Amino acid sequence: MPVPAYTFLLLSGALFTMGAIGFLVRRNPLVVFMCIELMLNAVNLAFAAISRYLNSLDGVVFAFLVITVAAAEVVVGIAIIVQVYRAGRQMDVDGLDLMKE
Amino acid sequence: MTINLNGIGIDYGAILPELIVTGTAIVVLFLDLIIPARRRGWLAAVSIAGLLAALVASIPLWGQSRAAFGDTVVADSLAAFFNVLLIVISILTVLISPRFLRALDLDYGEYYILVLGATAGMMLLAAATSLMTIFLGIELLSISLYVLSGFARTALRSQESAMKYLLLGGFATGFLLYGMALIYGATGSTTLRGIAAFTTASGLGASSNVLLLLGIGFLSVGLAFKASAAPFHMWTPDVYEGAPTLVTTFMSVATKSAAFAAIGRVFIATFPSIASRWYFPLALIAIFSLFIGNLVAITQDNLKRMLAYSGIAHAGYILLGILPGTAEGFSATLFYIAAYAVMNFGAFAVVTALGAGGDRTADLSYWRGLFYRRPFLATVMTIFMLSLAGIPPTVGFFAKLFVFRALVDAQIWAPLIVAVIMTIVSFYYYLRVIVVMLAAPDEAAVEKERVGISTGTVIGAAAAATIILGIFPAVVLNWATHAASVHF
Repeated sequence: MPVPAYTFLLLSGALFTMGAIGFLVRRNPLVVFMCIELMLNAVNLAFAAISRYLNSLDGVVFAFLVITVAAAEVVVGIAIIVQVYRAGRQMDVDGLDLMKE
Repeated sequence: MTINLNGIGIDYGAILPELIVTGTAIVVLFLDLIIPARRRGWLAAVSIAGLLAALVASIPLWGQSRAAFGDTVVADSLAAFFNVLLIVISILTVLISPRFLRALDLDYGEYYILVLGATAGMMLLAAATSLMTIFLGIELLSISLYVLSGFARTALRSQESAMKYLLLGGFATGFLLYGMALIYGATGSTTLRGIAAFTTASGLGASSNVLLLLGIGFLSVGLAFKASAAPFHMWTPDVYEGAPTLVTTFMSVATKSAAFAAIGRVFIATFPSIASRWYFPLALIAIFSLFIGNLVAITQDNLKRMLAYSGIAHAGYILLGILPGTAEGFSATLFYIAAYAVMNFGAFAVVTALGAGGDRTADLSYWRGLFYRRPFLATVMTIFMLSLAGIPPTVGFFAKLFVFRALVDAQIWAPLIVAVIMTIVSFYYYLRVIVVMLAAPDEAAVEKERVGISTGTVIGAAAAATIILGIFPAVVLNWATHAASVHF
């Protein structure tokens, strides 16, 4: 039995919301970064589902593009997070408060 | 599923400037491996040579309208306008870099590669006519800038600014992409031309298409984040303050320019048929930016933070030019972007030039009596502050005038009134810098003016351009009008 397209969009929306909420409430920068990845993967799911639904390849190409760029972002992101960690600071985004108004 | 290979339109000439800048980055990457550390100045020279070549290659694009690569990029006057602007900013940045990189003990070749990479991304963003290339351009410039803002690796503030930029930037990218997915789902196309054709064809249907409107909303969040417009500006003050001032100088003007190029292409060129739907949210973002930028800037005692909030306010002014959706408004926006680039680059370059004096040189207290200690820097800073405030005869005055005139002609009153009031508010914090510099210094000792030839020339040229364009704005306005006309 084929699954209707909107269920995938609902799932994608749910994943995206979970990622966004996780971003806002979690404190460990690595977990925060994982939440961003979850948001991006929700987007990929949406692209793939819409692509199938519209019978056009653009969305799949877009999803591959997102995967590639996200990989590049992870490389840079992990390096920055490790750098902050090596400076002996707590792994807590609330601790990033050297600059205040 | 089929792929239509006809009309893919592989046309390397259309993206020649971007290719040259990217190629230069690769050349610099290899050169960095073979030339000894004390000759790193050559990397700057090679970068400038590559950027100049890209500048020359951009000029033939003027007046063309060449869509290439399956309608994903276009070589037109608007792209050429931004190419020239971005390349000039990049050249000026590289010119003042070697001296300060050495002073900060950051003289690594990667700096030039990242600046070139970010420039290529911004140029791609200005030429992008598809959601995919907009995304690629934004990510190329963002990832380069994440690293650049953490370039002072051992400085805690720099690390902190890189991490904040990375996490918040990634969050904004998520929204940008989700918006793109929704727009693709609603219209079935990823090219701006296809999306525009769909919205125009479906007429009133498009303005009640929830998927499309939600998509445009999310996309706007991502773009407003890059342009640092309120309420998506939270990262700006911290990142600008923590990043090395050289990097702040570059990204404060270049990122904003590129982001507004994309905003123009999306709102002016793609969605004019549903302007009644995006007008109000966009006006709200502009008014928010004007309020938050100008009011919070008053309380800042750190020059870099003050200029960050001033940048948020200027994002508001620039956005005002988009609101009418007219050729006049869009050309005013382009003129404002060019004017902002000149004067804000100059202001940050002065902060950079003073930065060699120690850690707290961005604090306003350090600037006390600067006229007596560093007369040249104080004088040019006065010019930049007057221009940012919008006082004639500087280019900042005409930038505001043209935007306001476009609003009057389109009979858009509420945002105009807010903008005028906020401009008057902004006089306070810009003029305060001048007053502080004029105040008697604590100790009367006259320091020797050590600006350096290249830095002095760049800052002097920016100051001269601020005044000359303030007296003869017509040349740049004509260019802006022509560049804006590609979408009308």
